[in-house]
Amino acid sequence: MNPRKLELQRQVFEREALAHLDVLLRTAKRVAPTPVEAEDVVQETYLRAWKHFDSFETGSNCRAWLFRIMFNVINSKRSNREKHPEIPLLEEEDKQAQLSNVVAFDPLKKIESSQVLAATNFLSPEHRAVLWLVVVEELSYREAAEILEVPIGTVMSRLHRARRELRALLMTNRAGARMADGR
Amino acid sequence: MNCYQVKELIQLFMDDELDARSTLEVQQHLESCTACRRLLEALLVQDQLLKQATCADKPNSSQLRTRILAALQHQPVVTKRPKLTQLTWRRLTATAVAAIIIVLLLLRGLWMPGQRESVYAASVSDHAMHCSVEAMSQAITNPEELDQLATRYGRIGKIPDLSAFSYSAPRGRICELNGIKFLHVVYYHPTKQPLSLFLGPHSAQLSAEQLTVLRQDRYLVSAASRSGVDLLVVSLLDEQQALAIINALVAQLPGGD
Repeated sequence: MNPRKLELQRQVFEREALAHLDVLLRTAKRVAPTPVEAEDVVQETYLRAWKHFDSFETGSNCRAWLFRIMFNVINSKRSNREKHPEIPLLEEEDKQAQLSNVVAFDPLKKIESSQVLAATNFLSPEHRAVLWLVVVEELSYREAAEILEVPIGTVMSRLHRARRELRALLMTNRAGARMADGR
Repeated sequence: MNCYQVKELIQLFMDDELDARSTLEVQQHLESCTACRRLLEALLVQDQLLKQATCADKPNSSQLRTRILAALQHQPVVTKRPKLTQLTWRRLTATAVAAIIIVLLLLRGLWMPGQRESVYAASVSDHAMHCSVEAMSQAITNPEELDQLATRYGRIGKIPDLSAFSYSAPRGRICELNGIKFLHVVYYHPTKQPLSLFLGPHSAQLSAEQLTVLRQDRYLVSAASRSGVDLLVVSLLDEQQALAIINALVAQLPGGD
């Protein structure tokens, strides 16, 4: 590709794709195999997106396209990890810290957003991903199904379970906190 | 609809994934059932809290951005490298095909790059497919039910009234334009072609507070966004009439003039 055309394409990429950097990073922090990998996942996503930017149709949903690439990156990382398992000690410590964050809220107060966020860490990666795409990023079931490469029925059932588990988790912890408090 | 059925559908209802008929049935049940209403409220609060927490998390991406831009400098875009003997022929073919497509699109008035334009193009094709009475035979016609849908999709208590322009007998359905859910209402005129109104919560794909009028093919699309609601009108009217109608519709929105 000649340098002028390449520069032009780079400008379009910055305008169309890099505009979604914060959204991708925010989501990656929640759905990447570990939060510390979020930046690597996003960087890898953008490098792959740039590599195949020729296949992106201007005017189509760039955010959904980037999400699809990002979930492919995450799946590759996950399958690599399954082949070569190495669970860092920190991960378990992080989970304990998060659990205490969920449990320690005052039952007299209403549930706070940070507690809901902490509770999502106890959902499976599949449930968390669909919850993020539909609830937080407000994508349709069809778009979420395309991004995750699963049937739309799977999106619906995962979302249903994710919401139910999250609700149960918050209710259980609220009840647990009440009991511990002698109420 | 009973509580069991509503519980099965409540998630689809809150995610705007139900058709117009089921949306209304769930809405009607919720009006009379406190238990289901509480369940819906609890789920909505849970979703809202999750959204709030996520929006509060503003990641500092400036360093990552710099890193990505630096990495891109060394990363080529994948382009197929054909053999030198085939190159000229392929380029010529591709240029000719692209030129033909562009000319055809220009002739048809469909050359519309950008997400906003994709929504407008989708509204034109949805109007063309669904504006006849036959195509809308399964649509919602009951005024009370239409008002309920207008409340849900346009935050207005009543379906917009276009009787001042002799458009009446509205029929409504839920449709999707470029991935965005809209209430699609078709109005009929005794002598003119039907008119479509698309009503939905404001989407980032459309400009806020901007009044747009453009011609697509033989249709005129006028669009506006006010008070968090997007309005699109597709008709065969002239620009002046279309502007008068969109302004009358905007005036019927909450906070309208």
